[in-house]
Amino acid sequence: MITRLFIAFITIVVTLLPVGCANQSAERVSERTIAASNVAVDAALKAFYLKYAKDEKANEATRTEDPGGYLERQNALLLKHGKVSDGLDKYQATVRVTVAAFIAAHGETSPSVIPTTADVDLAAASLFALTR
Amino acid sequence: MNPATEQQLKTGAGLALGIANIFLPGSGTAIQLAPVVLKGVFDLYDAVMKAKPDDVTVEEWRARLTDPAISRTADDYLNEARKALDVATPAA
Repeated sequence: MITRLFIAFITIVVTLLPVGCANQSAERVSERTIAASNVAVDAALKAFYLKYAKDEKANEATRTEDPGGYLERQNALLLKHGKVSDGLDKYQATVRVTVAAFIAAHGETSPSVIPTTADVDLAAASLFALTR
Repeated sequence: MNPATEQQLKTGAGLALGIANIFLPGSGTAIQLAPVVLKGVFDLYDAVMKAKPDDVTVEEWRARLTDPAISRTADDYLNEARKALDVATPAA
């Protein structure tokens, strides 16, 4: 399901965004891309953690009958959680830097300090990869 | 990226983080803002609003800093999912 969501998100971004943004400022394009990216990341995390909580609950049921297996599975779940948490931190940092670039660009004669939105999409894609 | 631009982005990133804290509702906000003097808060607010692109509304501008994906931790998502499943397990 997450894979399908990811493919749908990328398809929408790749096909529709450039057309819709033809007459928009660089700042507006970035703003829209971040918005779309945030929605996709939020949806992916919700889907990932719903499954995570289900796996956790199922594992809890094995605690007494299979303590060794329980600990192993719990450890694997915590490792996954750590990876996703790191991915989210990186994603948030990337978005914040992009937002900060708007501020940094204010008063600049050259718009070159405005980063491309590729960084934001890349971070979102990385997060999706972690949650697969 | 030249060093000056990189430094500018780093400075801006710190500024954006401070602004995000200002606008974030809920947990930790008061503590995070405690060291910030009142004038500093107004300066940050002015800076982000002055930098707002003309074709982006104030609401949109603020919303980017408060989107769930930018304002929540992985633990928030996990706890929400646990609640949804009514799982009484301690936070990871």
